[in-house]
Amino acid sequence: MEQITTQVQDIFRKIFDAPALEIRNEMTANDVDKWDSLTHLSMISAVEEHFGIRFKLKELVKMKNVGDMLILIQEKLNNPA
Amino acid sequence: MREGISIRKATLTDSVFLAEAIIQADMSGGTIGSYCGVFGLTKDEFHSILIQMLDEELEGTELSPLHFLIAEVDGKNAAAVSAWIEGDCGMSSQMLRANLFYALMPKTAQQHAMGLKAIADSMVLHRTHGFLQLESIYTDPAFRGRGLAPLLMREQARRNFSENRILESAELMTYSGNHHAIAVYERMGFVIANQIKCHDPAVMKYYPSDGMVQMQIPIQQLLIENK
Repeated sequence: MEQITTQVQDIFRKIFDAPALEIRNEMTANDVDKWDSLTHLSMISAVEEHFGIRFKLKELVKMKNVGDMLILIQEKLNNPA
Repeated sequence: MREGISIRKATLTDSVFLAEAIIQADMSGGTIGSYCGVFGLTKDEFHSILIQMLDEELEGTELSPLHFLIAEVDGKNAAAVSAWIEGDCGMSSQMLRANLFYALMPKTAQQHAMGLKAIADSMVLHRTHGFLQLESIYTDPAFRGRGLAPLLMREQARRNFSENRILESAELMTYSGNHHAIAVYERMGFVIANQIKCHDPAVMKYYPSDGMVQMQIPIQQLLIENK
């Protein structure tokens, strides 16, 4: 999980233009300045591309915070479709 | 209820009417709406995408049939208003909608929107967590002048308040150029709480107006019908 966290953090830093950003499990869009609806599209796309996974809509709407996303990424990597 | 007028909850079978309501409300009487403008879609293209979005029945944004009430006049769909409590689903409506867009908008449309990010950012007002949101307020032109929109807005407030007694305020957003609608809302007791203006003249190519207003009203005041 630590590796996933580091990689997602790198993606967040790039997409949200925040080089010092440190992600936390409870972090949401409200906690990151440039995390708005359009950057959200870029972030999800970048995460999918980086990890070689696809999120379904029902999975996206269940991701209430960064921790939910990290768990889902790990599940998808452990159980590739 | 007034003679000939009935109010009912929308269902998935109303998707075509609701998609038209969402698009027309977004256009605010102008020639272009923000969804079509920002995503670079024709009205017909966005209409068919909207039908797919409505099919998802995703609660917590205006793009769900579950949140709409429809007013019928003599059995015909005449007006619609969507309402939900912001953040009640554990995620902001802005993020829920972004997820819908990500899943269902063509990638080319998403890229078009990214290219307009500076303008789009300057047109964003944030909804207030815990407030009842009134959105996609639409009356078919053939049925205007009968007070259907205020009727539906009050009915949304009544139904949501009866299920959630701690609800204190309602909120709506509209374009600053939508003077007629703003005047109607002010007569109902709404006051402007926030407003923004985009200073890039190109905004008018993608939005019906160069600014937005956010209006609020205490729920108890909205429940009282002005005579």
